[in-house]
Amino acid sequence: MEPERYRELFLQLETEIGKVIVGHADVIRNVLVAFFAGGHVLLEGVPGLGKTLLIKSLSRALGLTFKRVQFTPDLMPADIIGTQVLAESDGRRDFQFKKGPIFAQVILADEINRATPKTQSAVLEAMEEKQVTVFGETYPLDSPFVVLATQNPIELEGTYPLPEAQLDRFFFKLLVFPPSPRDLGEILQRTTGAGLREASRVLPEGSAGAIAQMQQQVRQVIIAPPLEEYVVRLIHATHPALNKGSGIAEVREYLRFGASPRGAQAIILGAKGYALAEGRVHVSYKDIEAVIYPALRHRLILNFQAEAENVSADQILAALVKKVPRE
Amino acid sequence: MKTPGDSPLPEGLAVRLARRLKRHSWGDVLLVALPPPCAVIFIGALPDGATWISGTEWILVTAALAAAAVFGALNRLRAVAWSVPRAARLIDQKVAGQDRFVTLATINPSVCSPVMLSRLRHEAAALAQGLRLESEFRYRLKRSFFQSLILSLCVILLFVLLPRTSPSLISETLSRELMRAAQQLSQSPGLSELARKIEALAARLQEPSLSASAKRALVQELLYELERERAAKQQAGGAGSELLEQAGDALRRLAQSLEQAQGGGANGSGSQSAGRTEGAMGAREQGSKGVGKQEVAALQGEDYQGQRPDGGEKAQGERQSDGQQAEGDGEGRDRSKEIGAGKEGGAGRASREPGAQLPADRPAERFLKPGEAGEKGIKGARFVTVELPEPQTAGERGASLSGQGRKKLPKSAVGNVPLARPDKAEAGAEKQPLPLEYRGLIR
Repeated sequence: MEPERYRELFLQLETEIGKVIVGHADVIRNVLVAFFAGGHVLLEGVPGLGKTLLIKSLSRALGLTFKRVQFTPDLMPADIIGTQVLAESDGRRDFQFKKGPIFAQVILADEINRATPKTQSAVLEAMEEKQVTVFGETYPLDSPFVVLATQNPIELEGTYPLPEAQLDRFFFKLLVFPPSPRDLGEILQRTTGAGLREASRVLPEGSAGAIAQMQQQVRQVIIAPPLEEYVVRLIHATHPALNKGSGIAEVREYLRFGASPRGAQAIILGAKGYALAEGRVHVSYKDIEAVIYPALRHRLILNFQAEAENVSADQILAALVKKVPRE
Repeated sequence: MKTPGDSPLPEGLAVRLARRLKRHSWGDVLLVALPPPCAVIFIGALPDGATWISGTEWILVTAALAAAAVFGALNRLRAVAWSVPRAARLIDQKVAGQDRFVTLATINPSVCSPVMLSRLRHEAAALAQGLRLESEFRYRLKRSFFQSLILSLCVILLFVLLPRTSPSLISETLSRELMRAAQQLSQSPGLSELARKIEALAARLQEPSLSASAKRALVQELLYELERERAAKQQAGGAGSELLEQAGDALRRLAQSLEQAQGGGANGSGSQSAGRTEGAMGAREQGSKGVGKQEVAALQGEDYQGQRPDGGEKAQGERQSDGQQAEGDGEGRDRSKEIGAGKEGGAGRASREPGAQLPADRPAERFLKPGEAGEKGIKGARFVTVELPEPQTAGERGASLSGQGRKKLPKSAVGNVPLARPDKAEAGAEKQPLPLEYRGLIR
């Protein structure tokens, strides 16, 4: 696939989703970037901001199968990945695997932090391996496979915050903010009128092959060694233990642990996707700095002081971008 | 053989720019490093540029300047160490290439997708089309050059101005000059004695306890001797008059600087300096006003008896300035010996010998008898006791004043003959020692 074709499709998808979702252009772009980079996305925002609608619109525009799982404390792993059921055929009874909702191409894990860790881990294993194992038998998941999870930053009682190891498996963590007054007016116009808009299909149904090509295209984007070294420096600078006595003050003061190599991978792949979406076949520093926030904000583990002083990971990342030299 | 710089590909542009910028940086390094050595050479070439500091100090200053130059140059070189990626980044900034040139300059083409690579090159070539390295990356003088230049100029100014503004430095400089002159003189036959005296003087001038006036007197004494020597050399047609002229110049400058130092040092000595010229022979040439208390010694008739050297008088004057009362001539002579053998008898002999500067039309003051008025005052006057005329009483009037028109005469005689010293037995009972400044009144 030509880079121009990629960009064309990408912009069409953005436009179609944008027809349904008012505002949040950066969220839409980041979701698409993560999708074509082959990553999963964690969306965090208060209820009613259109997270679920965004994901549904994405799956529709992409022509992919979509399943939604509402995570609750009593949700069991089998409710997601499926289970063996006793089935009778030709007079014989035997166990058959009943596929759960995880066997779809786009999964909406709504309020993922409300499920128990056991259930969460079942989903997260599927996210990483892109397959599930039930009673010793492995079932591969459909391709492309993307989990778009949401979580609510409020109402934390009775929730099970995702462990860091599981958070690390999300390619991007996107923050969904309340709409601006102008966007809110537009939302009201669109949703309270007679006709509700829906995203049109950009890719025909069953176009997994085209999506795979686009995902392959992202990986072919050229990145210069100095830019890779910059990413390495950024990741290295997030580790307070490695920067004792030197490095960035914010990191020493507010971070307990830094980003993992997955963070670096996410930055580079995300930057490649971003560059391609911008119509370039090479990564620039601007791309890296655009994706560093969604790629690293859930990978930095803040310490108590940061929590006490209400310092966010984004603030620390801003300091990193400012202080880590490009050369 | 083709080099990457000759390549028509856009990455070749970065290579060419890197070469160009490297040349610029070497130019910068030269320009940064050049002013300090130039300053050192200039200061060294100045006649009295670096004479006020010793050789060690001069080496230290030179080393510091050299270190500054090397540091500045290295710093400049490090700051502008132009690599190809850096040059590529510069092109990116110039043409808004969004890191296209950096990418092309640093990637390994064999691991890139050919489609992507050719497209990237195409984009970069399109951007570089209007770029002219010669005009876009012209050589400009950097700030570091100006910093180096200003620093060097400051050092030059310091070396030029400081010795002219600081009296202590001036004296020190001139003392060093004297030492040099003495060394040169010592190599000339027949002038070794004079060289030794100059050396002794230079050493003496270093003494912090010696006042400026005393130093000046010493300098003038030696200057006078040197002038005589020079005149003698000129008459005899002997070599070495140039050396003597140089030494004389140094001495004159030293005397001037000492005079300035003395003038600026204490305004309270203004009354004392009214008749300073008496004791110092060199002051005649310089139009100087003389040397404070030395004149006291110079005016003592006894001191001139027996051809006492001037150095002794001045030394005595100096001792007086230190709070010691000047005593007899014997003591003065002893003290003159303390000053140094070089001075002993120097000016005394010189005054008898024919010289260009000697006044030939009248005898020297020392040949005047006590009480004779010389050019500068009364010979031998040190303390003058004045007895004021007493007012005549009524009884006396009849006896002594027989008619009107007769002048009132004082009881005691008034004359300009110096009275006996106040500490001598024959001194009058009623006496009023007056400072010499008021001798005009006494006449």
